[in-house]
Amino acid sequence: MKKLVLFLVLSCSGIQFWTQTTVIDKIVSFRLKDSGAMYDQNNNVDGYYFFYEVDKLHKGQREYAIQILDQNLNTVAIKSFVDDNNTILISSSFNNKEIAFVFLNQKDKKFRVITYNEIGEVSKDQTYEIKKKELNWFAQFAAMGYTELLVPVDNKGFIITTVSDTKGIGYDLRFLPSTTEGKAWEYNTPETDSNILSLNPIQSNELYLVALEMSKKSRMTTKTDISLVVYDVDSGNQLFKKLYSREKNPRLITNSFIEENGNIVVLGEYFKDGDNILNDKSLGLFIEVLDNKGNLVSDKTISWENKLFQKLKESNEDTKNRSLVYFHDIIKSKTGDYYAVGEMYRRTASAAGIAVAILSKGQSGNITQLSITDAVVYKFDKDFNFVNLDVFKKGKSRAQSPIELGSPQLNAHVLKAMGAFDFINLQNDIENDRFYANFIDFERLESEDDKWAFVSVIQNEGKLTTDKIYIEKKKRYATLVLPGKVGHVLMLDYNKKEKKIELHLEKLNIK
Amino acid sequence: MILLHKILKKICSLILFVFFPLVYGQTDFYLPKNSDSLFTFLNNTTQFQIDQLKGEYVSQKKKFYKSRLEVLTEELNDSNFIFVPELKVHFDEILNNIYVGNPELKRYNFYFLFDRSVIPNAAFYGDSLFVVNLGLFNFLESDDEIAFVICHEIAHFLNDDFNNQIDKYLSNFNSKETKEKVKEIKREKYGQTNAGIKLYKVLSFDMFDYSRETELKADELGYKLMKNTIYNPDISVQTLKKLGQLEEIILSDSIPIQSVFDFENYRFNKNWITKEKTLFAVKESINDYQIDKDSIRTHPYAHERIFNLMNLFQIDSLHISQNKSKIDYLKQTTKPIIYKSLLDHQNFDLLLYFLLKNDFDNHNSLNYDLLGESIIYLYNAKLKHSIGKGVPQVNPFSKEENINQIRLFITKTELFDISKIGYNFAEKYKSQMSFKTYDQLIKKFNP
Repeated sequence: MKKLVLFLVLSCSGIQFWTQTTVIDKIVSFRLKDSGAMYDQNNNVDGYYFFYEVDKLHKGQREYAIQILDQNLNTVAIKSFVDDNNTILISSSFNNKEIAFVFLNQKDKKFRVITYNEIGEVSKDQTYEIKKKELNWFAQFAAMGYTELLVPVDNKGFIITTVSDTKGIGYDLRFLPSTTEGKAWEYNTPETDSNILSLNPIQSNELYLVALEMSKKSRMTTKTDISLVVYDVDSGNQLFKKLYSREKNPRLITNSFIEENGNIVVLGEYFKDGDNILNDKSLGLFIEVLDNKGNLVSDKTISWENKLFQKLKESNEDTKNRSLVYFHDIIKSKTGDYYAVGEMYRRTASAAGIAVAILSKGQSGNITQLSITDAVVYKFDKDFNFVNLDVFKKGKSRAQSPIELGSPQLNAHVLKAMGAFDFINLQNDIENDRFYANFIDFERLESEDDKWAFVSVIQNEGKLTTDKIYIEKKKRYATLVLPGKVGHVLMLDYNKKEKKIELHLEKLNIK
Repeated sequence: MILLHKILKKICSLILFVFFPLVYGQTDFYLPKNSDSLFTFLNNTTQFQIDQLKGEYVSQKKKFYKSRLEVLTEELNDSNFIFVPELKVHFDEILNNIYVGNPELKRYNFYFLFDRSVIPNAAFYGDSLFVVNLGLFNFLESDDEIAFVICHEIAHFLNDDFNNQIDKYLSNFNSKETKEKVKEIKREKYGQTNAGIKLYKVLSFDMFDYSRETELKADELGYKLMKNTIYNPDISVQTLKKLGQLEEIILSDSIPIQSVFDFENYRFNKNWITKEKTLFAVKESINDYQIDKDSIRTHPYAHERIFNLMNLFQIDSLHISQNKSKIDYLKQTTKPIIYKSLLDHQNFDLLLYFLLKNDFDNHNSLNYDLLGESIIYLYNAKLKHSIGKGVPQVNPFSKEENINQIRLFITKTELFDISKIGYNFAEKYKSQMSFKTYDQLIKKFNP
C-alpha cells in the first residue's frame, strides 16, 4: 500500500504536516497542474510524474516542481525550475537513460524540452520557437493521430517532431542524444516545399526511426499519399522512403515493428489501386517486410473474404454487417511468432447523431458512429503465415464518427488518436516473453447491474488467457484501474466519504 | 514518542490512506470484550479534556483532542490494537513493579493499549493513555528494558509533554508574530511560497528542537522512576543503544527464503528476487526542497541520549540485564498474535520474515503449518488483486535488503508459481506439518 498525499512534494519534508492547521498553510501550497504516467519505447510504464506550480515570481515567471515517481510509486526526485506562467506540460518519456519533459508556452509560442540524466541532473534544456499557425496545425495533426511530439529512442536519445511553416506545411525532426558519443541532428522540410506534410514516428530502436509521412498536394484535396520513411538514428540520414500512392498500391499503415536483423515490418490495410484510403473500403490486411534499404523482403495480404475472417464472423452476432479490425499493436515473441492485437469495429447509425441532425435541420450532428466490439489476437508464424485467431468477447461501446464523410477505417484511425477504443495498452514483458493486451470492458449482465471491467489478454508460453478486474463504482467508494508497470495495474481506491485515496500495484494473473 | 505528530498529520492530510483489512478468519482479539465501554472511556476522556480547556487557542486545542479521538477510533476500527488478557497480565506485572517503587503513579489509572505493529516502539497519547507496539516485546530482551521504556513514557505524562507540545506548537505557529509575518508575506506579490517555506523552517525547527528536549527530559525522569523499582535503571543505556541501531535498519536478519522455497520439482527462480531497474542511478531520493534531516528529528540521536544519561547519573559501563522473568512470557504470548495479525492484515512480507527468521531452523511444526496457511492466503490475495494493499513494493532507497527480497518474492511470483510452491511445499514438509494443513495445501494446489 502506498501512502500518497495530494501535495506530495511537501509531505516528504514534513512541511504540509505542520502547516495545514495554521495560518501558514495559506501561503505554503503547491498547486498540482498535471500528473500522469511515463512510458518508454515499448509503451511500458516506467514511472509517474506530478507537475506543480510552486511560486509566483517577478515578470510573469513561475517556479515549478516536477515530482518523479518510479514504477513502484516511490518518489525518486523532486526537481524545480523556473518558466513563464503560461507553461503547460504536454509530454514526458523515459529512454532507459534519461527522462524528458516537453513544455509548451502557448502565449510566447515555444516548446521547451528539459531532460534529466541518470543522476537526476538537467542534461538538456532547449527551447524551440514555433509560430502560432504551426502550433494550430500541430494541435490538429496530433488530434488526428498524424504526429507524435516526443518519442524515446532506447539508450540513445529522444526524437522531437514539430510542424513547420513552409510553402505548404512541413515538419521539423530533431534528435536529442542522451549520450556523450551521440550527435544531435535535425531534419527540416525545405521552405520551398509546397506539399501539406505530416510526420508520425511510429517505431524506433537504437538503430532506426520508422515514421509515416502523409502528403497532400494542397489543403483542399482529399488525395493523400502515405510514405514510410526510415531514418538512421545516429546520423539522421534518411535510409529510404517508400511511397504507397493512390494509383499504385494504396495502403493504410497502422503499426510497425523492427526485427532484430534490422528488417522493418509494417502492418495495416490494403486497397485496390486507385482507391482513396480516406474514403474507400479496404480489401484486407497486409504485412510487409522491408530491409533497411527499403527492398521488399516479403509481402502477405489477407483478404477480408479470406477464411481467416470466417471465425470472426461466426463469433460476431451481427453477421449482416461486416466488421473490420483495427490493429493496435504488433509484437514478436522469442519463438519468432508474431501477435497482432486489435479490436473489431463497424460503422453504424447513431441515434443521438440522427436526433441532433434532425433538430439542427442537418446543420450539425454526425449521424454515424463506430461500434467497437470484441478484442482479437492474430497469431502469425515467423514468415507471417496465419496461424490462429482468438476472439475475446467484450461489451459493445460506441464512438461518434469524427469524420462523417471519411471511411470507417479513417474514422477508426482518428478515434484511436482520441483514445475512443477500449484498448488501453499492450505491455511487452521482454524478459519473460509475454505480453499483456489491456482493454476496458463493459459487461451487460442479466442478473445484476452492468459492470465496467479491466480485462487483460495475456500471452504466456504461446497460450492466451485472460484476467479480469471489476471496476467498482459505489455510493461510498470507487475503484479505478490505471496503467502500471509491466504485468501490473495501478489500482486507485477512492473513499468518497473520507476523501481518501489508496493506490496499490497489483500483478495481473496468468491462470 | 508522543502522539502529537500523528494527530497533526491526521488533521492536515487532505487525502490520506486507510487500510482496509480483509476478513480472512479474523479472530476477535482486535476489540476488547467490553468494546463499548472502551469507546465510552475514550469519548469521555476527550470530552473531559475539552471541557477543561481555557486560555488561548481553545478552538485549535479542541481540534487536537478530537483528532486524537479520531486516530484512536480509526486504529481500533482498523483492527490495529490487540486485546489479549494474557498479554496484559504479563505486562501489568512489570507495570505493577513500577507502581510499587513509585506508588504516587497508581492514582493516574494509566491505560495501555497494544498496537499490532512489529516496529519496536511505544508512545504517550495524552491524558493517561499509552500505546505499546508488540514489536517492542519481540525486540527487547529483558524486563528491565521494558521497564525503562514504560518509565520513559510515564515521564512524558508527568512532564505533561502532550499538552506542552500542543501549546508550543500553537503559540509558535499561531502567535501574533507569526500572523504578522504571514500577513507580510501575503502582501508580497511574488515569492510567497518560498517565503512561507522559510518561515515554516524557522518555526518547525524550533518545534523539533523542543521535541528533542522533551525526550531528553523524559529519559532523565524515566531513569529516576526506574531507580525506585526493582529494575536496574542503568539498563537504559543498553536499551537506547539498541533502539538507536534500529534507526536505519529494523528488519536486518538474513532470511533463508531461497532454501525454503526451493524444491526438486520446482526450483527457486532467482528472477523472483532480482531487483528492478529504476529511473535514476542514485542512492537517495533527489529533492530540490529537501530540509536538513537532523533539524526535523523528533528524537535526539541515541548517542546523545546515552551521553546525557551517563553524564547525569554517572553510569560508567554497559549493563546487561538477566532479568527475564516476564519478557519470555511476553515474547511467547506475542509471537502468535503477531503472526495472526500479519496474516489477517495480509502483511505477507513481514509474516514470512518473522516466520522464517524466528522459527524455521527450530523445525517447529506450528511454523510449517503457518507457512502453509500463509501460502494459501497469499494465493487468494493474488487472485483477488489485493496483494498491494498489505505488501509494499520495494523502495530502491531502502537498506533493508532481507525484507526487500521477500517483498520481491511476493510481488514478482506469478499466481501459478504460488500454486506450484504450495503443492511442493506440502510434499516436502509433509512430515513437519499437521495433516490438516497438508490436506488443505494439496486440495488447493493439486495440479
